Amino acid sequence: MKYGTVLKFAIFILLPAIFSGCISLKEVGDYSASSVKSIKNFDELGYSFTRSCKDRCLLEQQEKNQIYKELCDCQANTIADSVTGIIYNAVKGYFSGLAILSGSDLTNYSFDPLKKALVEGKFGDIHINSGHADSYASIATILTRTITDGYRKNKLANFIGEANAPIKLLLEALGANLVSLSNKLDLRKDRLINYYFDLFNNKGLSVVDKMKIIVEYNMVMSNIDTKKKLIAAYGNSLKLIATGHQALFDKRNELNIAAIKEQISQYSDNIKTLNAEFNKLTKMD
Amino acid sequence: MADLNSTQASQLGDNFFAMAKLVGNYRMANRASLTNEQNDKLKEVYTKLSDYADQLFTTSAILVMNDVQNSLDKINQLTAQIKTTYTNLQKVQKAINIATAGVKLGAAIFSKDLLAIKTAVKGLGDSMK
Repeated sequence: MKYGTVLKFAIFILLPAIFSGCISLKEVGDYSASSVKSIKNFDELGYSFTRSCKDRCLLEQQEKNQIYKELCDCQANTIADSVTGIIYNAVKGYFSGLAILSGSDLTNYSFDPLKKALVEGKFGDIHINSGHADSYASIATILTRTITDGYRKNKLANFIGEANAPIKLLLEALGANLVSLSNKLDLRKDRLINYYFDLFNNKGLSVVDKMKIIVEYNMVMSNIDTKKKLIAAYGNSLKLIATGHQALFDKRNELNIAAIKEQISQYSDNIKTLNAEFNKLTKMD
Repeated sequence: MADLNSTQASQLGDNFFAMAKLVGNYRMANRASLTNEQNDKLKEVYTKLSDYADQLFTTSAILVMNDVQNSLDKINQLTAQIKTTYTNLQKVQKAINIATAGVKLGAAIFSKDLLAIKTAVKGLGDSMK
C-alpha cells in the first residue's frame, strides 16, 4: 500500500472518530474554571468566625469601659473556621481537578520532535520527505487527541456522576456556614446599634463629639453591610455552581450535544457575572 | 448541645437573636422612662441573649461537620482519582518523547554513525527519566 493510500485510509477511518469524539470538554473546562475562580473568592470575604469573636471581645470592653487582662476565648470560633476551611478546600480541590482534566493543555501533545526525527532519519531504503513527516505528525496528533479526549470524556462522566450528591451537599454546607457568619454580622450590627445609642445619649457629649459619633456609626454600619453583601454574593455563586453541576450530572452521558453545551456555557457566563459583581463589591470595601 | 444538629442550632440562634432584638429595641424606645437600674438590667439581659445567639451560630457552623463527613471523604477520594487520571494523561507526552528518541536511535543505527548512536542512546536515556 502506497504512503498516500495509507494517508487517505487513515483519514477515512479517523474522521468519524474525530467527529464522534467532538465532546464539550471546552464547556466543562470553562464551567470548572469559572467555578474555581468563584470559589476562591472565599479568600476575599475579609471576615471569619475568629474575627467575629475578636470584634465582639473588643466591643464588650468598650461597653464595659474596661480592658480585659486576658484575651477572649475564641477557640470555638477557630474550630468553626477550621470546619469551614476543610469544606472549602475540598470543594476547591474537586473543581480544580475537573478544570485541569477538562483543560486544553492535555490535548496539545507535541509531535514536533517525532516529525523532526523522521525527516532527519534514514530507514534503510525508505526515504521520508518533509511532507510525509508533516502528514504523519498531523495524523498522530489527531489520533492521540481522539483517543485521549474519548478517555477523558468517559472519566469526566464517571467523576461527575459519583461527585454530584456529595459536592452539592458540601456546597450547601459551605453556604450554610456563611449564613451563620452573616448572622453573626447581623448580631454585631444590632449590638453596635445598642452601643452607639448609649454613647450618643451620654449627657456629657458636645455637639462636635456627637458629630464624630454619627460619622463613625455610619462608617461601621456601611462596612458591615458591604461584608454582608460579599457573603451573600458568594453564597449565590455557590448555589449557581451546584445548579451547574446538577445540569452536568443530568447530561453527563450526552456531553457532545449542542443543547448541553449551550446550557453549561450559560452557567459559566452566569458564574462569571457573579464573579464580576463580587469583585466590584470587594473594591467598594 | 451534643444532641443538636447544625440546622437546629442555627434556628435556635435565630430565636435568641429575635428575643435579644426585642429587648434591645424596648430598652432604647423606653430609655427616657426607665430608671438606670432598669436600663442596666435590660442591657444585661440583652447582652446575654445576644451572646447565646452568637454561640449558637458558631455551634451550627461546627456541627455542619457531622452532616458532611461522608461527602468530604468521597470528594477527597474523587479528587485524588481525578489527579491520577490527569497525571496518567500527561504521561502520553512522555511516551511520545520516548518513541521519538527511539526513532532517532534507529536512524543513527541505520546510518551507522557512531557519534550519532552515542548521542541518540543518551537522548533515549534522558527521555525515559
